[in-house]
Amino acid sequence: MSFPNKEQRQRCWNSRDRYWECLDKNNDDASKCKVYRNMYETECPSQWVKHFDRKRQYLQLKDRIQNEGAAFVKIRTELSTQSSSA
Amino acid sequence: MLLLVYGSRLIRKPWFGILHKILTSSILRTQETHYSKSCIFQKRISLSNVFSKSYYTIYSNSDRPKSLMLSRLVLPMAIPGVVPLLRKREVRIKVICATCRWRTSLCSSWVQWSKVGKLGDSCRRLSTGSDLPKGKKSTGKGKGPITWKSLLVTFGIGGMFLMGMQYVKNEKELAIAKERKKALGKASIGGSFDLIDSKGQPCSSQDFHGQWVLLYFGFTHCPDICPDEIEKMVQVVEVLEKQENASKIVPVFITVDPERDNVEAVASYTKEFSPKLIGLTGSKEQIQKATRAFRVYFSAGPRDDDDDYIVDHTIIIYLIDPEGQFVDYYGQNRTAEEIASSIQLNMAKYQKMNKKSWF
Repeated sequence: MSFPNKEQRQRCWNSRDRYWECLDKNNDDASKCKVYRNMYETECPSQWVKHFDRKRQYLQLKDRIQNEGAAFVKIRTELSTQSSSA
Repeated sequence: MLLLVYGSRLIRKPWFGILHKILTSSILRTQETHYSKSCIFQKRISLSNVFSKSYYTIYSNSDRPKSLMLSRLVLPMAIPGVVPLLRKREVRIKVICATCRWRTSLCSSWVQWSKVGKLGDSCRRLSTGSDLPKGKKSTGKGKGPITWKSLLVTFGIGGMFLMGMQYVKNEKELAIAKERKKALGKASIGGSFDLIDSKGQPCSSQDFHGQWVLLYFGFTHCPDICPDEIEKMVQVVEVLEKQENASKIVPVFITVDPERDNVEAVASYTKEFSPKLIGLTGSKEQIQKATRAFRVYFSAGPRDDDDDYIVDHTIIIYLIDPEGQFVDYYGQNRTAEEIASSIQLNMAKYQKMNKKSWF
């Protein structure tokens, strides 16, 4: 199985960015972004989809730690250990 | 044309003495005195006076009464054939005067000029006035202890001394820097590797000796980080290539996924980024050896239905010097500009350390 080339990579990243944008707008309500999700899943290899999903979770967590402080981490340690393995 | 006629002996330096002898022996015959200290002054004599006489004898009223005579000069008119060439009406005579080392003007006033009828006459003292042109009794110019020559010698010796000091200082600093590098510098990162290049030819770490290397470990199925990092690496190399003082540097990509990344896959992958990027792969053992040398961690993730997987690995760009030694590393948080300037700094340091000595 060959790797995604430059063009395929770019397409995948673009569809991912569109999906993430949609999630940002809709307060992470995935049901409202199904069209983008489908496009994203067809453009990207399934492993990449998994990877990016984890990455989004991780980025969101990172964002919250930076904005809301470390107190949040103590409550949600489980999530942070899960996400950082991504 | 003014003719310089040297009298007596010059400063008591061997080379000066030899030079003086060569200069004088061809034109003049001199009787030398044995004074250790001496000084030079010049006098002009009207040629009309010179022509009529065969030679001049010069006296010095030195502070040694018994050694009155300084030298006897036989002027060039004694040599047949020279006289017609002397068109000017004056001859300048240079006289070395004894015992008045720094007081040249004083010395010149002591010296008396005298005409002597013919060769071999004993020294007779005559008054100056009759032979010399008016107002030209002394042209000693009052030379003091500081002359251009002495200044030149002083600055010459001083300059050499300073340069010597500077050199010794630099050597010492270099030795300290080398010692420091020996003491704490050598991380046990880096080492030799034997892999396969994009043409299927064996390629070892030895092949990169003599040039700087930027090394990155990744894999072709890498979702986002590897392409970003390789892009950055290529950018760094392009920035450095524009710098005149930077040495040659090669970007190298080594796969951590030997199972899928064969020679063709790596070749087509690296070609997408830059033709300069060298892609290396190898057997599982070869890759393991290379990653172990650079302390790179890699671990293939769980496989899905398509047998696809993601390899988790260390994201670090390594800088290797022309001797194959690990120098520095750059993490994901460093920008291309930061890396480029850091590499330049390391290159300058390396050049300083390995500069050949002058001797």
